[in-house]
Amino acid sequence: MINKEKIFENVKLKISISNFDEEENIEMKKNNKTYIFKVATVACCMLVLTTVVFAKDIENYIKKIFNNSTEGINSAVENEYVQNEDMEFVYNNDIGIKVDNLVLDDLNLAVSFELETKREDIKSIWIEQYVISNDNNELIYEYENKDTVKIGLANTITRMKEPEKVTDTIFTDSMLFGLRQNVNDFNKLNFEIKSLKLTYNDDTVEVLKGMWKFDIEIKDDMKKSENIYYNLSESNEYIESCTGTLSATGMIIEVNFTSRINFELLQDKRIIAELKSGSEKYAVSYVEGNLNQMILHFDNIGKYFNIDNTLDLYLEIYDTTIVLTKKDI
Amino acid sequence: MKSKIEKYKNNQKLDLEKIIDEYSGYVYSIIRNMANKYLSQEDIEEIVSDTFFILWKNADKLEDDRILSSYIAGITKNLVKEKSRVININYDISEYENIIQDNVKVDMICEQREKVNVLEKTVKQLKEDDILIFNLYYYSSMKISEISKALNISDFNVKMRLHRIRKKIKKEFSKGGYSDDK
Repeated sequence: MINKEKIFENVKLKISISNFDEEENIEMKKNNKTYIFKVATVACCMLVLTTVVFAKDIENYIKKIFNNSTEGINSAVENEYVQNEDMEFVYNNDIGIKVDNLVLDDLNLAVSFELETKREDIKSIWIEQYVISNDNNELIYEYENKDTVKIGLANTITRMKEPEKVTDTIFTDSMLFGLRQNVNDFNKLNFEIKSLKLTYNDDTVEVLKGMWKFDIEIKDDMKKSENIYYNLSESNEYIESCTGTLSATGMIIEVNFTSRINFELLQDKRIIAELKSGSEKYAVSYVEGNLNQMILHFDNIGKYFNIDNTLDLYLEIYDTTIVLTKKDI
Repeated sequence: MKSKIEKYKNNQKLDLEKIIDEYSGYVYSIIRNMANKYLSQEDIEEIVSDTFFILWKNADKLEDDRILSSYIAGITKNLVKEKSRVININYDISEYENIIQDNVKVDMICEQREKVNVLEKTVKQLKEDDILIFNLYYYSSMKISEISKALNISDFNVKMRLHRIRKKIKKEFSKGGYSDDK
């Protein structure tokens, strides 16, 4: 009996591989035999953009992923600045947890988890209580409950959306941490997960206490973020000094003013700060401030963006624009 | 089976699903008649898939007002011939000689096919959902944002997965005795 669906799937796969090969231009040498195929770019096989979608595939594929990401992190991943983990699930109370991927640089740490269970009728699994530290015995972040949070090297966390169900047995969750400045290098992340919140299909909730403990080695790629630095290039009556650090996942600009800032004035401000690179504008993601200093965090930018050597920084508090220039190393 | 190529084109692209639906049986018949006793089921299935793959790869060479079956017969004949050389058997193609279109250059992409076959073994080891994303990106030519919307997952996740798939394919490819030296 001819299985047409199987034939179609096989052919689709061959075509996908052919297109992948053209894009990646993989050269094949088998053992010591000179058997080299240089794949020429075949003009007649250039990809034609199409929105043909095979409904069958999508109906059969139900996958939802928790999204805690930024444009800076997305661009880092797109440029292969990401660590994939091949660890085994760590099991406790018939639920397995592992780290799937992570992105780490001087400004941010993004971690995605995969959870596995054979328990039935589960709608979602949320990592509730946890401690993350490093091999320098420094705390990254600890969450006990909403009133008991310990902030360490990470001073912000983003977990805005619900974790999602990939299949009946696989779930995902993720966390995005904003790191403090000048964090010392570390080689390992230590995870201790102490409880999970299980929501069942009938919306009943169970808090499952346990201990899921594992370490992740930080690969060399994640330790070499090779930041780009910017300095103030023109003097400004309000600014004493200003430096910018552009990393793989974001940008941080430290502004020291000549006088103390009245932060209350910022409460009603719409923009606070905006960065301009060529014709592109980037609003500040969040601001830390103290006395006469403001630290501006931009998560919507990163070094893989097409960023100019000269940037304009608009500061609404004084309605002034300052110019930053890339520092030559 | 005397339909012209133009019937199977949709916005200048071949409607592969329709072609496979209408011509799989035809291809099987050709193979069985030519060399049934000598080819395993696996060889036959490979020739069938390769026939449609080569047809797609040479879509720009197909003349719209020609009969599709003649191209398909030509490709199939050449693939059976190629496989037969490997197995060292004789075959009978007299029945098809009048209808065969031989201007589809099977030889031209023989090398590419070999690499595709090698890579295929690796790709088939991926998880089912990874193969789906791989096909949506490389076969359906969907953008990251389109895949993300269609599958209801984040852009970030689609990018992560594609990155991981590419890395895994290259890693497995080099483990299998091949190297990816550019």
